[in-house]
Amino acid sequence: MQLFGEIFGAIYLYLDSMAFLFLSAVGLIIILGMMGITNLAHGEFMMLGAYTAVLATRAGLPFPISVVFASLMVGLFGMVLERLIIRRFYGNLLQSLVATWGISLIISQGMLVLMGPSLQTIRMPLGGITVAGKAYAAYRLLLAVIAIGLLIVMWYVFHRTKFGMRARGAMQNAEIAEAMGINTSRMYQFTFGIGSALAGFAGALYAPTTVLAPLYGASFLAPAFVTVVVSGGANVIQGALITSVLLGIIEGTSSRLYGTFIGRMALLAAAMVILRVLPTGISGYLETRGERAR
Amino acid sequence: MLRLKQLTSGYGSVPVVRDLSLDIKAREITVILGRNGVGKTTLMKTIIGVLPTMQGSITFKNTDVTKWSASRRARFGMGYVPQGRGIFPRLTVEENLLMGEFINIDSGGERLYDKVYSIFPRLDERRRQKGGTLSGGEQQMLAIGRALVGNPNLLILDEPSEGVQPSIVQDMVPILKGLMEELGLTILVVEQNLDFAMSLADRCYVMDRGTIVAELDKSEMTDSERVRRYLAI
Ligand SMILES: Nc1ncnc2c1ncn2[C@@H]1O[C@H](COP(=O)(O)OP(=O)(O)OP(=O)(O)O)[C@@H](O)[C@H]1O
Ligand SMILES: [Mg+2]
Repeated sequence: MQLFGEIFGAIYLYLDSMAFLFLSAVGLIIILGMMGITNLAHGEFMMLGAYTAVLATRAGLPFPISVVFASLMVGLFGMVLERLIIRRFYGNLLQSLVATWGISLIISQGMLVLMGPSLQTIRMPLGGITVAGKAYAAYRLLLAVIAIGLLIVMWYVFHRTKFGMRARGAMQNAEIAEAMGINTSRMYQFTFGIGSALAGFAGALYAPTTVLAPLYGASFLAPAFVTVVVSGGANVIQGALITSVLLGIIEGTSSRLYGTFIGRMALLAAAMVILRVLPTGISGYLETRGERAR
Repeated sequence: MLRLKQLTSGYGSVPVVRDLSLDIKAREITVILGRNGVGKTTLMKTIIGVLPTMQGSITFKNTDVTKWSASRRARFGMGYVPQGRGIFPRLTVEENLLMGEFINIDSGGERLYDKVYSIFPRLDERRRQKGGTLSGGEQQMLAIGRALVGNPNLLILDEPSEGVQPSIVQDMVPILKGLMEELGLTILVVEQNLDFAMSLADRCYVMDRGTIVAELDKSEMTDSERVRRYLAI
């Protein structure tokens, strides 16, 4: 029973770590893979999702509906931003970084003015469960289940639908995809919308687990960003999965032994080592290895 | 079928194609010959619309398409086989062909997957293989097949013989001629391979420094000495 408790505790911790890394990074990775843009406002998009979900719940919507609503709103917001600003910076890494960074500042400062320095959050749904004498948050287990569910849905969309096939084609060669009659401009807008909606989704899901403040976007962004950089943009779904599992194990282990701060540091250190060894990221490595094997 | 009027285009503000006028007739194979770097690919990309037209106009099927996006032109009936083939390396052969399904979709005609597989049985054998793992010749077949599945009105090929073994290049001549006859296809090819170009062409132009400098008639085409002289301008 003692051993079972230990094992369950470890699994809980690892799943929690992995789920957060995956959920927070998947939108960012899709945008990077599709458009070659690292959206530095991703953390602010998550923050917007969290705020929207909290405010909607306070206004009386059931929490799950609020989460869906927040995802849709942030997705829509992303599509408008793409049309007005982001699309001017495709193909220019530096300019796109500056532009999205500027957007992140405007959002966080704007929210600070509008909403004040912090927002009282909502209670974590579902309460606790006790396993082998220890209490765990059932909601965090649900988050892990949601992460796995989302992974399956994304894999299905990208690998089993025509939209997904066209999206992968456009990622591999946008010019040829356009010459094959695929409206890449509309596809980019749509993909940016999906990436933004996923940011909003992640932010909304994690809203009850933390204190919310307009400047919190940066702390959302950091782990997502590390996951994305380590994964690379080559093979988005597999990359996101493998990277979040790997980094989740590293972060989980070090925070279990030495606390959360060291866990974050270990995440960064691991990212640097991995990138040193695999400069194109984990997905880039899998890609080239897969091609060589044939 | 396709009319280019005083076309100028290039990269940034530097024109590469200059003041080029050309009339491509329906149900013919037109070949444009030109040495390295004279602007052949730039011209093809301008015709299909991935490069914007700086000056002049492009009329396709009696419609001015100068301002249309590439995807809209493709849906209207342009099929494109790019230089270097432009296969999607991580999509399977089958998926690469499916990527061509929007070509000429405006006409609502049937999609020609079965026909493509019967013309190129090697593609049929390799349906589930990734495009990036095919040989050069197989990729060329795939690129042609991908442009064909939508049954385009105009098929544009940019140096199809490049990087393909000679026996497959020879096979391509009757295949392209047969497609023209059978589907009523209009074909535009740019080439540097003289023998291939000569055996294919109904009409042949020479391009130099971004514009058309000569048209060769049938007798001149067989007189390859004169052609070579043109190409050595
Ligand atoms: N993306 C680009 N940006 C800027 N200049 C370019 C670009 N692509 C080609 N050029 C220039 O335009 C000119 C014409 O190139 P283009 O590719 O059209 O020639 P080509 O006739 O197709 O040559 P090749 O036989 O080698 O395919 C060349 O001087 C080339 O340097
Ligand atoms: Mg060329």
